[in-house]
Amino acid sequence: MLFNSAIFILLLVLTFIVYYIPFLKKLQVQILILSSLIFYAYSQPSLLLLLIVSALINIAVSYLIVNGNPKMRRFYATTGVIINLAVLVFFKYSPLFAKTFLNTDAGFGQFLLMLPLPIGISFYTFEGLSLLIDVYSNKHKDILTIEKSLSKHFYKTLFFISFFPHLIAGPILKAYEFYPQIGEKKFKNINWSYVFEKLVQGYFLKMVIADNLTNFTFWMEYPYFKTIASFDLILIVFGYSIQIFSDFAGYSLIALGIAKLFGYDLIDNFNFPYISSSFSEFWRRWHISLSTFLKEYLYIPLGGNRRGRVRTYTNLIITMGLGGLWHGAAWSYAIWGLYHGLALAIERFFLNNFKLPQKNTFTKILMGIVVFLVVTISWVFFKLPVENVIEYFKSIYANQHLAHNGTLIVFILLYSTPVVIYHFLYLANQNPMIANITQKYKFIAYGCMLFMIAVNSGPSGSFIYFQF
Amino acid sequence: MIKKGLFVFALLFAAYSIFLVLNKQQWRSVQYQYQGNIIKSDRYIYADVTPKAAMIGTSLSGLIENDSIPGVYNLAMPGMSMFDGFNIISKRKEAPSKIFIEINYFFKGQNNDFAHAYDSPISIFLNNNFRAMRPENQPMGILRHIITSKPDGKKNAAAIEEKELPATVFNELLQNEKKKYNHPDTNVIKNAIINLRAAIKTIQETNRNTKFYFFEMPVNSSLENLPLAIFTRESIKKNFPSIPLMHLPPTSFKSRDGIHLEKKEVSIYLKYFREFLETGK
Repeated sequence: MLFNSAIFILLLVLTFIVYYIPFLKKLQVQILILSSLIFYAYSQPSLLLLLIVSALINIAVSYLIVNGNPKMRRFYATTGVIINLAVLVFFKYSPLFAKTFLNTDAGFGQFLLMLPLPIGISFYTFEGLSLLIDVYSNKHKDILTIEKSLSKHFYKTLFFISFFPHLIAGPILKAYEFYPQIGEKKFKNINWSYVFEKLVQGYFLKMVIADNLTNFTFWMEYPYFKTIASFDLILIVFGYSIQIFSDFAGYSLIALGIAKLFGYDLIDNFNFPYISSSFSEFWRRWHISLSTFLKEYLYIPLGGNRRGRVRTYTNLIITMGLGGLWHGAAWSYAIWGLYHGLALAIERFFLNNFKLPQKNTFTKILMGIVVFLVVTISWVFFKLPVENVIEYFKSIYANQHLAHNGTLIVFILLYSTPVVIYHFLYLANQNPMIANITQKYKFIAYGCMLFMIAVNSGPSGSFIYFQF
Repeated sequence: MIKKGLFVFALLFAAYSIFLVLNKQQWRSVQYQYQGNIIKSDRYIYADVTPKAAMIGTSLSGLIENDSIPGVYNLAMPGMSMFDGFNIISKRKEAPSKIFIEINYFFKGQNNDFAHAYDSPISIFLNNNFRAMRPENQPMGILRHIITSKPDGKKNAAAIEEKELPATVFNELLQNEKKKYNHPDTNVIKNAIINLRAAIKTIQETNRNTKFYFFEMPVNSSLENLPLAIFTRESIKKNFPSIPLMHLPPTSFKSRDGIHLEKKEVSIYLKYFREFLETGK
């Protein structure tokens, strides 16, 4: 179910009305669970079972870790983690395994290739993992408490995993951030300005920018790119960079707005990533819920930066490589992740071995451009299968004599401009005087965005991150 | 803030609606292929009078400019199927008296998202009642029209001149097509015949006078007699013996990428098509 579909709006409105009916206030969590299951089942009814089984495993294991035999805690936690990872690997990576190692025309190879990919499996599996690891480690015991009552724990955990705003494309929630919020919510406490701003920004980025740009960036695919002029091919990659940001940041903003309607705070998933002047800063601003997850649950357990320089570089590359593979069952995602891991490692190497000049405005801009270019080039790996990536770069070199497509150039630039302004405004707002002015007149921007949503939306399409 | 924002929105929307009422011209506002298909379809559905003839097909016949064959409305849609064209034709009570069906890829399935967009009562209501919400009136498209048009209303001469692809690229694309043309999925074609028969029957039930014609768009001449082309052609002839099939012109075509004609080749084919319309041969 798409956030911009009529059926979703209907479900949202009905859920909202029922949720705030005073005599149903004790059932608020159950109401949201029911809506979430309908939301999920709408597109993949048969795979709802997998979501429920996955949630049940995490409910049972987390309960046992706290309330079961204390000597068995480690065993429960390890088993739970292994089961979660096994389910994820089986459903998500079997086709890749089959394509790489088996004959996919018949037999077991064909069976693996035909397995359906449950929507959002990477997101809800990671959330389950965070629950088990946090409960086991006791690191957040002051805020993350597991109920003695199994039924209360059941509802809380099922709600945590299935809450529809984040269910299929994040932000990836961590149990210790979400559990303390679960409780009775009141209509009068809704922060309408926050909801309005997030929803308008989110729908604008998705429906006006991403849904329009996608009609120009599809030329990036094979064999279309073979017929496009060099400059246009470069511009398309730039357009895709803007599109993927708008698509995913748009989704996350809508998720934040909707969750807030029901009284819940989700973490900001994007923080103006394209102004970053270093790769580490980029990953603190891009898909924040994933990068913090990888840092907390993979990079630090691997040793982080505590075991010498070489080990730090290796840990960065491993973490990002696995993070890349988390996105999808294709080697190109792994390469994309390794590419970012390498960029982070090289950056760390320079910081460790060279005395770099103090950052001033000029160096920040220069580094910002370098980071943006390197990140933008990486999207080619993200978008195309490995075998097409080299061909794409070859075409950039070979197609210099082909005629430009003026329409493509004009519209990629037009649709990218708001995202560029969005980032520049963030920088400009560092100045209190400008911040005051933008705060005072931001209603004009919201009016304009609403107008563009109404009259200039692209054909509604799936969110790119739905496939992960 | 919310009230002020909504006020700005209402103001902009009203001003834009007035602008559109005062400028009732047909904007050349297509931004991209899919939107071009929507605009084409909207203009067909919301036209005051049903066109006398319509052409349906894929990107192959989509290359034919809409006003280049007098009386024929081109509903061939790049990236989509002739079944999408059928779907749009069925949205008007009255069908055209002649429907030309491109057969090259007639077996390509309907685009369900596109079809659903025309089944949605909300979208139909908005399209009918708010001109500003029709895709052809999107501000970005109109901005483009204004920028690229000369003061006399003609299209700016900056239109792109086609340049040939490098020989290696052309050969690679042609080889890709040859692979596909050498291994047709006959089951898909057989199923499509059933769907095509049903689509024709649906139109005929409400419009007894509508006549159907099949035509085959020229592709690179090396593809014309490969298994896919032959099987498609023969299937159509065998299953619809009463519907005339316009044969390929006796000209050898190169095409731009194996299957899509160059502009000058489209002109050659148009001449042939018009002759067929006039003489029936």
